[in-house]
Amino acid sequence: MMDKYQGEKKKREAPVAKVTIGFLQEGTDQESGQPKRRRAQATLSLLAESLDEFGVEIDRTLAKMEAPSLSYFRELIQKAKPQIKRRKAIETLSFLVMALSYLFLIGYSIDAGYLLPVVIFFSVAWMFLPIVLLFSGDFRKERGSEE
Amino acid sequence: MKEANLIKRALAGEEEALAILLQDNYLMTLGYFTKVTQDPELAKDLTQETMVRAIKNLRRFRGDSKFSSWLISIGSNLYRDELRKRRSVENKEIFVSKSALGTDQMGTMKVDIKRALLRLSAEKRMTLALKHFYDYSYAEIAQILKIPIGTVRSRLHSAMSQLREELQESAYP
Repeated sequence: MMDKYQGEKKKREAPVAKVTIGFLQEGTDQESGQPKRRRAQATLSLLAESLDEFGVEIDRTLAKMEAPSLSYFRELIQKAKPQIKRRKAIETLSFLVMALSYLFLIGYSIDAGYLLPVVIFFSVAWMFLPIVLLFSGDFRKERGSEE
Repeated sequence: MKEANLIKRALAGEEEALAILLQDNYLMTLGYFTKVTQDPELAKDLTQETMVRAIKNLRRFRGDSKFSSWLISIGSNLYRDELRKRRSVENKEIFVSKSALGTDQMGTMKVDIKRALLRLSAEKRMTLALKHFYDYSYAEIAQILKIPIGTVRSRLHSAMSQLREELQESAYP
């Protein structure tokens, strides 16, 4: 299990140094006479070391532990089943209610003589839908990961 | 058995496959929470609750990330909720006075790093743990924690800055 976990760790390329590079661009500490840059570097490597040690310590503790048996997880699944069914039923019902309400509203509006506003509404939606999709969360996420 | 195959089977409703997936990722999730909370009992509770939430929300797993990343994402949300609930207790435990930190030798660094980590906000701790211990990319962390990439960068920078300051104080009093 720990091997799997270790394997999940991609190549380590001193992330600490990457994110803290700005700290190294400092001047000289007049009081102590010791260059701040050297102090910052020393602290940085100590910080990376300490974090690594802390991580290794926890991993070592975890290596001694075992994941619960499959029956434990089966039991969790069985316990969660009724809730999943209930949630599914509520979701399906909500969807049906929403869909029917929407259709009823459109039908009622047309019946009441609001054909033109309904047509305008759908035309606007038809025109702007591509733009909405273009700036949807997924699209922004993709763009973000490309940066 | 390959994870992709297990996920496919679990999504198709096969309970055995889901149980295996959860078991395979249990220790990794527990490790993440232990690193973030430094409280083994809380970590165990959060891991179990994460597993339950994963079972309930399996239909929402789109398979565009690793199962472990998805679990961590669920767990991180859960931890945020948990912190909101126990904010008052958390305040007492985490925001220890600065003088409580070790102030001299490098030997105390290990204890100091634990305390310094606990002084960070939960959001910064989670970001730092994902980057440092699991080496996720900024984009992956952003996806897991559901925050913009810029926020990941700033949180990471801020966390490192805070840690560096505290440890520098300890090492060079």
